[in-house]
This record gives sequence, structure tokens and C-alpha cells, in this order.
Amino acid sequence: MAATVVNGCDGTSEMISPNKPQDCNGKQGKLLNGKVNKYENGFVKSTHLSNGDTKWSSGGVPKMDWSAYDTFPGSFEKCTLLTAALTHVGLYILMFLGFVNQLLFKPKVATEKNREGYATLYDPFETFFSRYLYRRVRHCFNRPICSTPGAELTLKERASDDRNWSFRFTGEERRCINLGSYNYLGFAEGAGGATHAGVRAAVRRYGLALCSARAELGSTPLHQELERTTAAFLGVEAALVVGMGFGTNTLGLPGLLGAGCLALSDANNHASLILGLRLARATVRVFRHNDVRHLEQLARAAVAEGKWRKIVIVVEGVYSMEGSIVPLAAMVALKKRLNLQLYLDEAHSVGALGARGRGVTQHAGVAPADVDVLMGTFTKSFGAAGGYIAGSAKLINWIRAHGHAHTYAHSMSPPVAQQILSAMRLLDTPAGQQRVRQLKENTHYFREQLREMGVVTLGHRDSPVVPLLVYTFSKMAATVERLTAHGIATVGVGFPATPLNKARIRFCLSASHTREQLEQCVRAVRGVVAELGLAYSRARPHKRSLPA
Amino acid sequence: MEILKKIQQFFSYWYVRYLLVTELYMVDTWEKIVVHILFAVIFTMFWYFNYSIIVSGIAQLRSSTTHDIEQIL
Repeated sequence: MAATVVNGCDGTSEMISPNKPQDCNGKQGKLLNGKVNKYENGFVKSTHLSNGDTKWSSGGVPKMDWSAYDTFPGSFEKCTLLTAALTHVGLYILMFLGFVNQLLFKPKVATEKNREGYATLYDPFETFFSRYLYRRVRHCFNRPICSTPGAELTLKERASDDRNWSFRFTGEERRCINLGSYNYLGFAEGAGGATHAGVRAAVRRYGLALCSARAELGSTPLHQELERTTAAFLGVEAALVVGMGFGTNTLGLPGLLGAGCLALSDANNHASLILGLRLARATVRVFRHNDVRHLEQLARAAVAEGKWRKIVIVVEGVYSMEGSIVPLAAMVALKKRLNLQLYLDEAHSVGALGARGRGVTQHAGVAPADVDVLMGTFTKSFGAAGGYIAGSAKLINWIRAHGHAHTYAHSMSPPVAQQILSAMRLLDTPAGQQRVRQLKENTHYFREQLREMGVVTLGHRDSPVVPLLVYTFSKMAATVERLTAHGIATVGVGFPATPLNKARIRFCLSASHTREQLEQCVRAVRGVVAELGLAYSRARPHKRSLPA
Repeated sequence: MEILKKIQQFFSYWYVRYLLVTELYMVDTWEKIVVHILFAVIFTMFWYFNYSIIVSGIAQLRSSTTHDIEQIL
């Protein structure tokens, strides 16, 4: 624990002394993280109000002129009324059949007995959903694989004798093109990969686990080097690495925010951010997905209330279910104008976006220092595990002391750290840059081909996550089944990850896909689209050829 | 033989599309049959309602000549 205390002291003493507004974008709230100096924060509030008052005559802080920024929220084509109605009718039929089933047959599942006076253990809707909707398509989810998830993977085939209540392995395996893993830069390579030698050396030197938290005996030179390299890679002062990507958000946010803080959260934020904000006890207000105008409205209202210790915008770089990209330049401009703070989750964008793979900051042409907290994961582009939080040195010291990940969570496994280091270094070589370009080419090619088929795809044209809307569970299951039969492994997504009537197929592209593989995928998808009637798009062909 | 095969293919294609759009694709056979029967009953009743009520209700319009329509208009 000694290390924690020292870190904590360092961080706190550093944080009390300077009150330079430029350090953390203006408000002392960020500097102090709201906990150290309440009097000062109160003072800030009152100046804030008086600022508003004095500027009232001159009209206050002027509204943003959004026409100067790229505020493209991503392509979100609406379905026809007929499609929406049929999807709902289909869901009602499934519900009806579920109720009939429930009445006639008692499923062999755990039931609650003698629990009078206690809260129920199972949510009735969730149990109903998982038994009578999810169970029917369960063969499309949680499919076990038995190989490296590279450009191709090996699926282990399963069969069910009791209508998907349970599965047994048939003993057969199927080699498929992998359009399901987040292996954007193709660093998930296994033996013979570009990072293989380094990782092997790290295993020999440090073993597989450190059996301790970072703050205790879990810090090796490898971790420190990784933190330095990550900070340099992102172009900020310091970084902190955590062994789990989901935990980076859930354990980092409670260290940064607390009661009395307001989080303006995007409607489509990931579960880890939502959980983190709840654990932090911050007040959350949700703005419509990628809608900067709505965000400005909420932010102005919050500033006018004058009671928040700090106001933080919480967004993601690439949204994994929509394939949309955050309008970061516009958000940074808004944040600067209203003195807010910005927490950016780059889980899907770091490595995958930007000319040199620096993520959405580079994609949007924003200086990394303008984003207060840069969070990201190593699980996707770097083919490893874990996550990072990067920003100013003060911020990182603060999170080391007050976030729970550094103190309590198990340290990142050394070979994993070495994998990230090797991948990150490789990314700056010509071979690595080729991967970034290849990913972009693959993405553009695949999105263009899908658009020509007339299917509804969501998101930004640069996003390597390509969701294809199929609306109903049956179509999702049928598509996954048929694509698997054609030798393509992909992921169907439905409720609860998406709205109940917006099931989709999610293709994730990778730099390791060759053009031949993608052509094979496109042929298979075209066949399935024709067979199942997935061409829902109403965009005119001549519109389709326009760049998105 | 070729034409029979084509007809059969046509029907199986649209049967699958029907199953997909009504979410019957993923349910058990007996459930499919229940919903098929339900649909059949609903549409039969709908047809009978149209046949007995609507058609007799508009009988006057149906029997009217062009001259009568002009009169009505």
C-alpha cells in the first residue's frame, strides 16, 4: 500500500497548490476533482453565476455556430412504416407463443420458493425474454471457437437436441472467414505473428501473472515502459494502464467524478461507461446520439443551474453498435466555449482511425491535449487485453490514487503488456502504417459494396464496425446461419444490446483481410440479401454512389 | 419437370420470406401450425365480414347505373 499513499500524497499536494486555469480546461473542479477544496468550488460557482448575470446584457456566451463544424452524426436510415409494423407484429407473435408455452409447459429452470417478503430474484420480463425469444436463436450467440481469431478462425460446431436449451459438440470444426472479432489492425496473429517473439520472451522473463496489484508488487519495468509508450503514442503527458478494458471505465470514472458532478452522456454509450457513472454517483443526463445541438442545450441548462461541481461530457470514439463516429471537433469547441470537460472512450477507435492510427483525435484533427481524459482499450486494435487512461500528469496521478483499478485490480499480465508494446511500436513502422491504410481500404470497399446491394448500414464510412440492419430476430438468425454455411463467421446483435425491433448483423473489418476474402464475403452476403430480402434501403442508386 | 421445380422453388422462397417476416422461422413446428391456423381463421373471418356486411352494405352502389351515379354526384 505504501506506493499508493505516496502516489496519493504526490497527487493531492500537486493538485492543491496551482490554480492555473489552463491546466485542466478552466474550472478548478477538474484540478481538484471536486473533493479537495470545496470552498474554492463554491466560489467558482458564484463567479459563474455572476458571469452569467453581467453578460446577460450583452447576450451571454454566444451560441455555437454548428455550420462551421463537421457534425455529421452518422448515417441512420429510417425504416419504412411497413417494416416497423411487421417487426412489431412479429414480436407480438413471439410474445403470444411465449405465453402459450409458459401456460402449457413448465420449463425445467430454477424457481423461487418460500420467498414471501423478499424481493424477487428474477426480473419477469428478462426471464421471459431469455426463455422464449433469446433461447430460440441461442445457436447464433456465444459460439465457441478453437483457433486464433485472425483473418480466419475455426468454429466448433454445436448441435442441440432440446430446442436450444442445451448444446452438445458434434466434434466437427468449420474454418470461416472472421468478420466478427475486433481485430482491426490484425495483431491477433498467434504463432508466427509480428509480436510473437517479444511476447514469448516476456513470458519467460516475467511469467504469466504478477499475483498482485500495481500499487503493491505488481509493477514491472514493462508496465512503466508501456505507460510511457502509450502516452507518447497518444501525444499526452502520462498514461495509466489497467488489466481489463471494461474495468478501466467502471473503476476509473468513480475516481474522477462524485456526487454533485454532472455527466452529459451519449445515449448510445457502452455499458462500462454507464456502470462507471452509476458507481461514481454522478448525476447523468443523456443527450441524443451524436446530437451536438441537444448536447449544447443540456450543457447550457446545466451551466445556468450553477450547482454542479463540474460538468463532464462522456462520449465514445466509435460506437460499437452503430458504427458511428463522434463529432469530436465540434464537441471540443463546445467544451471550450462552456468550460466543460470531456471524457472520451476510444475503445474501438484507437489504432483503427486516423492517418497514423492515433484514434478519433487524429481523425477529427483535434489536439489530444484538448480532450481531458482519453480512455481506450488494448483489446481491439492491439490484439491484447486491458485498457488505458491518458491525459495530463496530474490527472493520471490523481486516478492512480483515487481510481480503484491501480490500487486494487490485478496488474496487467506481462506478456499482454509486451504484446501491446510490440504492436504499438510496429504501428509506427512502414509495415504498421500499411496495416492502418489496409484497414481503411477494406472498410471503404466493404461499405461501398454493401451500399450497392441496397441494404441499410449504419454509421460513418470510415468506421470499421459495419452494422447491417435486419430488424427481426428471425432474419438475424437466418443470416448468421446462412453466412456460417458459406464459411463466414459474423455476429448477430439483438436486444438488449440494441432496441427490441432493431436487430442487426455486425461486421468487423480487419487489416488482415485480403481482398479475395472480402470479395468472397461480399458474394455470400449478396446471396443472403437476395434470399432473405434484406435490401431495406430506400436511398436512390445515384445517391448511393455519393460519398457519405 | 423444369417448370414444376421452378414453381416449387418459388413457393419455398416466399414461404421462407413469410416465416421470416412473421418471426415464425425460429419457432417450433407446432407453434408454426398454431399461428398458421390463427392467421387462416382471422383472414377467413375478415373475408366473411367483408362478404356479408360490407358487400351487402354497398349493394346499392354496386347495382346503380351510371345515370344513378350522376344523380348521386
